[in-house]
Amino acid sequence: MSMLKLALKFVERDILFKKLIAALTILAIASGVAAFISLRILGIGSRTAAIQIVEQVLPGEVLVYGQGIYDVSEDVVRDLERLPGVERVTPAILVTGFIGRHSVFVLGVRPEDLKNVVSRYVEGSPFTGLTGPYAIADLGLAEKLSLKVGDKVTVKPPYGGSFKQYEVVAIAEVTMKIEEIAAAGGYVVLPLREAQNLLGRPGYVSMAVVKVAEGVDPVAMKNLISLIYPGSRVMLREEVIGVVFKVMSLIESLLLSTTMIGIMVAVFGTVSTITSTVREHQREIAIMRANGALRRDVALIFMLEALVYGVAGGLLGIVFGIVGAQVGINIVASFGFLNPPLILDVPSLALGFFMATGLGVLSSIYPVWRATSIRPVEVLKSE
Amino acid sequence: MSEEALVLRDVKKVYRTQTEEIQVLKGINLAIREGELAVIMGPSGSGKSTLLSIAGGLDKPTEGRVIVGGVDITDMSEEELAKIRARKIGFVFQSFNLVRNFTALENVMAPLIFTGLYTWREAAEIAGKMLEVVGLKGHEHKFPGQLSGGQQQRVAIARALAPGPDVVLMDEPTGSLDVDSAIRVLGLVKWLNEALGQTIVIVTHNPEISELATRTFYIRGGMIYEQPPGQTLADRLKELKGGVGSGELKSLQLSMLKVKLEALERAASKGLADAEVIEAELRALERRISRLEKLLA
Repeated sequence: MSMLKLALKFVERDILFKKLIAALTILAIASGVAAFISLRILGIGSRTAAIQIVEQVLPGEVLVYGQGIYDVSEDVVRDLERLPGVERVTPAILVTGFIGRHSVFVLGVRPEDLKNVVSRYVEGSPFTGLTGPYAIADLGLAEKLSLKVGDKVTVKPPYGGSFKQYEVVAIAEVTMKIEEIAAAGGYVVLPLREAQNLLGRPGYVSMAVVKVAEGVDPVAMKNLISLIYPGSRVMLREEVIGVVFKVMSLIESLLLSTTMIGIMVAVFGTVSTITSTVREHQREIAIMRANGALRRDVALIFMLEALVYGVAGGLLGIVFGIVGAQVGINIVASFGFLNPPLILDVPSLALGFFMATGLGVLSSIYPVWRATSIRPVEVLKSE
Repeated sequence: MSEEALVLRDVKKVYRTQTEEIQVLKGINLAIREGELAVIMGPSGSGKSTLLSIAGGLDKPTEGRVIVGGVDITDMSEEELAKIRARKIGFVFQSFNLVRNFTALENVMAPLIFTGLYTWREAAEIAGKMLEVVGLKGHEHKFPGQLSGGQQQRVAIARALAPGPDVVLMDEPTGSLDVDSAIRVLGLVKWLNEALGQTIVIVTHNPEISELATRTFYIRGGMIYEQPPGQTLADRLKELKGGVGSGELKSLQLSMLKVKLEALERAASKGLADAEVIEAELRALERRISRLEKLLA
């Protein structure tokens, strides 16, 4: 205990005597940890937001696709509605299209399903029928193309030369934001029949979202549908989320690998600082060894110094990381894609902190080895 | 049991380079009795520092035996030697060699802490008293940079004496001091030797210092020769005193040695050190305590 106190005194003065180098070392560690924590918090927030959106957008637990882009027959939709354990089936068309030269998502839904797609009407009111030359423009798209209620837009499907004009009846916030990440433009929501006619596929939809009844296992429903319609592609909502997460994980991994470079810089910074400290105190180490200090006493001093840098860098990194995450969230939210919540995930914060302290101590291994290798006789040789 | 604080028996030291072997010490036989102030003199390159480092367990002899306070340290490992240095050997160097990050008090406390025998409070108490003994009361919380050269060397002396070592080895202790500071430091050394009965070995090339000695040795060509000491400087230094009186100092030294005895007994009962080594240390310590008690009586 006394040795620990003595070592702490040494470290305290050492850090106070070389304020700038100590501050830079702590900042290097803090920046590495902050980048890591920011990304983790942002990732967790984005995943949470993605889950919420997928759950909100997909009004059911099981998704049924055909082999092509829009080849799920409405007969199939009706058959699905009759399956035992099915509460509701929502048919929808979701394809890319164009308004002028702008790429957009064309979403065809029934009027009763609009509530699952639109969170808020900024201006105007929704269409009420399955047909009619009416369209709802996403807020982002409306701002981009300066659209107002009452304007006419010409929508073209992804293939062929056909097009049709629609009247904008509402400007709304579309909740189906995950897909929007991939879209160059925004959303235009059409009545289901209008979308089918535009694509030249009356009676067909892109997907059918099946809501199972209370107490029914969605996996069992997926297996049943796969059995009845072997040519279809059936996915659980969780699998959709899983796909989204895979993409997010890939992006996170790429960003984290960049963060690792920052952490490596912090490690080299700490190694360099502790090595220079050891070099600076070489003579004093020899004096302490001559006065009876054991190797472990010398190791304690310099490991403690590295630990102090690690702890200080870790704590500061947590603060910077939270601030950085908030900035990141604001930036992501400003794109209009997602509005991730700031979730202070304790394991991530703890991981960042322990990573800083652990790396701090690991960084000290080589300089500490050098320090403990200094022979006490050196003190006399240097006289 | 021997009353010799330091014994070097047929010590040889050979340095080997790629092309040649240099024999620095060619069979040194030296026995310093407890309470002596021995001065070893010799020109540069004569092997003085090598002899000191071997005597202090900082380096190993190529041949021969080294016995400190009744304990043969020749074959000890580096870590065992460190423990022995902490308890039985004090060092004073030419360049003071204080730790910049420690205050004067902490510099003196450090060797006590390294022994692993003392609590922080005990170490602080002993260190405070030692600083008082060397006349540095009131300077405890100053850093080495805030002290003069002479004051720093006195801190170094307090540090060497604090653990109550069997022998204090000094390497050119006045080499970096001006004449006035050097005289004060030498006065203190002589006074501590006489008042505490502390065994001191000084290695120097300064012939004036030999006048302090109870015995003087000359080292030349790797061999050591003894000559009787002069008296001049010792007489001149008689009027120079430290921070406390001689009788008071003896009582202080006695109480400190008793604290060390208790600490060693504690270490022995907990099995913290080699039983044989501790036993030899206890015997040497009891002998020193008994000598001091007789002097005080």
